Formats: sequence, C-alpha cells, structure tokens
Amino acid sequence: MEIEHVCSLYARKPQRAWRSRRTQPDDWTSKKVPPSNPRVWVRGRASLASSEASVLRGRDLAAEFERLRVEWEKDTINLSDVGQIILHDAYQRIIGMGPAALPLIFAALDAELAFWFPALRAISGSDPVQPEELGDPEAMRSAWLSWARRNGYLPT
Amino acid sequence: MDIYRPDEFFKAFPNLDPRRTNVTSPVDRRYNCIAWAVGENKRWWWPSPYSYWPTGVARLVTVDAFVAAYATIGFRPVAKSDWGDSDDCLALYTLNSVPTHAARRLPNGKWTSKCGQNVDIEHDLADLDGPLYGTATHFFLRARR
Repeated sequence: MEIEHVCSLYARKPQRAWRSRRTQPDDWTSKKVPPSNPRVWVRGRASLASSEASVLRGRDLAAEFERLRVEWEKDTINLSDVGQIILHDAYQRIIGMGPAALPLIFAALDAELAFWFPALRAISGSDPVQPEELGDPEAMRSAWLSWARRNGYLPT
Repeated sequence: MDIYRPDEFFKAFPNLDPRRTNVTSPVDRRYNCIAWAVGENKRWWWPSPYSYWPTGVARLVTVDAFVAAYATIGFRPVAKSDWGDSDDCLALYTLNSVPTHAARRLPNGKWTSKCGQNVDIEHDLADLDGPLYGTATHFFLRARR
C-alpha cells in the first residue's frame, strides 16, 4: 500500500508542477524558450525528476528505485542492444533521481551484475572504467565498486 | 541470483516451444548473443561506447557494421543455403533492417543463442522469429578451426 501511494505520488506530481509552471508568466518554460523546442520538455522533465527525488526520501526512494529496477530488468532481460537497455523509461527515471540514487545503484550492483554503468556515469560525472575494460561487464563492475568504496558509497 | 522466469521468457518469444527448447545455461550478464555466437562468454559485444566492439569497425547498429565486425574474426556473409557441416555458421536477426540478435549453428543442426542478459538456449532457427528479434536475415560462414 505504501509503495502504491509513493508510485501514484511520483506519477502525478510532475503534472501538477508542470501545470503550475505554465501558469507563471515569468517562468522560463513559457517565455525564454519556444514551446516547440523539444529541449523544453527535456529540461523541464529533468528538473521535475530532480525535485521528485528531493520529495522521495529514505524508504520511499528505495521502494521506488526497486520498483523501477524490477520493471527495467523484466523489460530488457532478453535484449543485447545497449541503447535499448539504457533508454528504457524506468532506467531513465532512475537516472532522474540524481545523486540520491547512487547508494541504491551501488548496493544493487554489489549484489548482482547489471548494466548500471551508463547511469553511474551520467549521475556521478565520473568514469573509473579503463578503456581496455569496456565490454567486460565484470571488470566494469569491479571498477565501479572500487570507486564506490573510495567515495564512501559502500563500506570498505 | 538466477532471475530466469520461464513463463516470462517464453511469452517474449511466441514461436519458441518450451517442449522443443533446451535451456543450456543460467542467466549470465557478462556476455550477449553477439559474443556467444562467436564462442565468447566474458564480453558484451555491441557497437556502443560501453561494450566491446572490434577496433576499426564503425560503432553503428547497422548490418554493415555487424558484417565488418564478424569479418575481423574470419566470418564472411553467405546465402542461407551455402553452408556445409564442417563450417562455423552464424545467423544475424534483424528487425526493420536493424540488427537485434545472433545465433550460432551447432553440429547437430540446431542453433544456440544467448538471449540478451538471459539464458542460453538450443533452438531451431525460426523459433526466435517475432516482435523482439525480427527474423534471421543474414548468414555468415567460417571454416571450422
């Protein structure tokens, strides 16, 4: 029940925020950028996702992360196309959680190998994977888990 | 943790009959179909910045790029009827002309596939036809080493 409530909140909140933005005449989305520009949607969505992460804290954020992780895994488990895997909506929403998602992603990666590397790079702005390790998921996982320990996201 | 779910797996491939399909490995996210087709089980082959892709080959999800990638290890494109029992043979599946999957022919005439991050299976060529992978449209041959 608690998870359902969080999910419904997650789904509705951006729409409310979007409406309120559109009614404010001085807002950048309505004045500074033409509405036909697709970047309006992208920038607006990113900022809303980030504000959403600030609303979802602790257990709520963890529950939402787990729901999205399971959805992503279920929908992409049979795919080889990395582009399709990381453009999945649930994966993008996890990236949209921002730095708050890092401890959750590292815990998931520590428990099980999965293709979290683009999300980690996008959120953290770092990339500890060496060029010769690209394409070797176990080596990439090891590089990221070492990085997580050095930066306090996982116990050393 | 094995996340293989038979009911969901076979639902994803409507032409795959559980009674005629052998699941030959657990879930393993270290390698994918493109790698498994050439016998690799430690790397993820894909023309993305996060994957292995042969040096010098365009990182594009196109048939031409896959032809060039397999050529780096000796596979040449052939017609479907051109293979013999003593050859290594690969099939590339495409959906709307975009590569999605690869399979390798086994000596017994069946095919082996790694289904994305999921399990390896032994199957018939047309079993994976469908909305996820499309169909096998391109074939490659290499004299067995």
